[in-house]
Amino acid sequence: MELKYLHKITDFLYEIPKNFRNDMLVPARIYADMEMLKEIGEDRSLDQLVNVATLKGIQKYAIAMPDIHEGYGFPIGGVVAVDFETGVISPGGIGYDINCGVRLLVSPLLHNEIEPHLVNLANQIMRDVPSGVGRGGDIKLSDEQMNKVLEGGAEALVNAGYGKKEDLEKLESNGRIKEADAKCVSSRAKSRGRDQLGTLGSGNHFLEIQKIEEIYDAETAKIFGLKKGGVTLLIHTGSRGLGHQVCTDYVRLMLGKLREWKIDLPDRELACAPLGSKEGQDYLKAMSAAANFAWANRQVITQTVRKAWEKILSKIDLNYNLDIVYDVAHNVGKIEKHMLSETKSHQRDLVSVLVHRKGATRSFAPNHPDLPQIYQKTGQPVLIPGSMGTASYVLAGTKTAMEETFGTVCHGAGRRMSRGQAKRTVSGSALRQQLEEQGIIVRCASNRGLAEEAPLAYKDIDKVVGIVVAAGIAKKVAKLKPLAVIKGG
Amino acid sequence: MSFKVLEHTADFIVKANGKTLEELFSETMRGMFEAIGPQFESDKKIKRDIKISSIDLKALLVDFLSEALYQSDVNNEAYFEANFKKLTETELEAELIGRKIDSFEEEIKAVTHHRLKLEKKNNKWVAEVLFDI
Repeated sequence: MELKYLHKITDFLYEIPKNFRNDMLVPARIYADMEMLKEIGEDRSLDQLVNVATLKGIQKYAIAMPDIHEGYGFPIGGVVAVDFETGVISPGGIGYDINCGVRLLVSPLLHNEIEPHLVNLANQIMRDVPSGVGRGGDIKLSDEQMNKVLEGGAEALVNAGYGKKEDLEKLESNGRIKEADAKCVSSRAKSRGRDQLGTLGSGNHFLEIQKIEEIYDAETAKIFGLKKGGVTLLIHTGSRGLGHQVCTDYVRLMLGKLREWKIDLPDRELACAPLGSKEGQDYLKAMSAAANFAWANRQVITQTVRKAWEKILSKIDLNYNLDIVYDVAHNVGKIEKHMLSETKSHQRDLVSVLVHRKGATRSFAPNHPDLPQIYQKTGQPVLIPGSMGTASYVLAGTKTAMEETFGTVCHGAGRRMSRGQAKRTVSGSALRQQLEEQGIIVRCASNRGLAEEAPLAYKDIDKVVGIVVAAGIAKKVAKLKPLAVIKGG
Repeated sequence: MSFKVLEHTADFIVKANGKTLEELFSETMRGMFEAIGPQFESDKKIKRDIKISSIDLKALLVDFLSEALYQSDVNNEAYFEANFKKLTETELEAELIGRKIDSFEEEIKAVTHHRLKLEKKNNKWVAEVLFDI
């Protein structure tokens, strides 16, 4: 799209007006500066954002974050809130990897205490956490256990001995969306997920041991449990084949009903159902169940990592405790209450909407009733993983995000180069060497997988985070630098 | 070879052709599996019967590939040929032929309808399908 169609609202916010195309129901808004917009304008992501602005019941704006890039149907890095009564729910607006998300753990030790044992820790985690395409884990769920996981999320796993009760309050939605109904998940989806609990998968999913390099807000960081020179561990994965199948099943179902619902779409991947229809409700319940599966998956991985940590550090009498800082979903749909009027801010003006976040992270402000007591003063910890080998950030939610973006920010650096181009530009073995020269331990079975996730294939995370902070929709708390990267193919 | 793999920022596209619709469907599936680098475990051929009905021909191609992907995921197999007993605008019955695999180099999350092309051009059927990976 040519940038001349965009109106500048601030240095970090641009708008495509509603009259840009006849079928737009709301304007589209993009959080970016001019430099980043030029890059965004090179692919079809802004056209895709305009398509999204045509969805029935959409409220305020179709919103794009600075890490936006072209997807299939919906752009990746987008936020769409629809009216809960009259709007539509779209599986493509959430994505095939339902509740792909990030969990951050923190150790009480300092980097210099962990440093001599890093290789052993990385090796042990690589051995213990199953990773790679289609790789199953040790847990094989019976039908009854599967239903418990789908409806109970992380809590079902804590009840089965995977973790501590205190873990749950540090997870978005406490690791369980209550609308979940296992009956709405097909037996095909369940069979794909049966042996995948506790597995990392492949592609851009990874585990990373990190050093807390910078603290920007000491008071908030202290409450989050983060201190300069400390050590964190980041887990990035989702609902695996189960979530992919749920999305595939419901896109197919909805496509067959569009004519009956008199829904005309510019792209079939925007397939959607009225939220009030049986199909819309069934998808909401199935998607929530898949999201719960992802939280359960990250809970099992957390416990496997804790055991690996204990195995190595208990031998040398070091504190092997790993506490959860937070866990966020960045591909999800949630029923939330938001303020739709721009001028009023009183609780009674809150309206129920369904917020689709596709490659976007919830970032609730201080005093939000959905946050645990411990984070009431700070706002929600927001976890932004960088590309492999680059920094990750911990941010905190703000009031501006509640007012402007349905309490949402970016989700990562955002891909800017195809996997093929990345592989041609950098060899996996050279990249491995380059990362190791920077002191980063790399445990990845495949050089191909490594090259595809090369940092040059992604936007600059510092710039992406700089824009959301400058726009006021998040504030910086800490910067994390990788010490060891563990990924499967 | 009557398919090739094209690039897309976060995904990839398989472009295939065939003299018949049957050949086109089979070649698109072969392209999909070749693109994700199957590591075969055995030489023994495996057959899987599938039956699909869809709203139209384009959706039928997506549903056919999704079914092959599902069978591949739950059975740890990759398929390189499809023999059709029936193939209409909205229905198909086929036998997938493949082999057991150890793993793939890439993971396909889904077959998408986005920018899907399926048409007859100069007496040849051609298709372009985008995959989410």
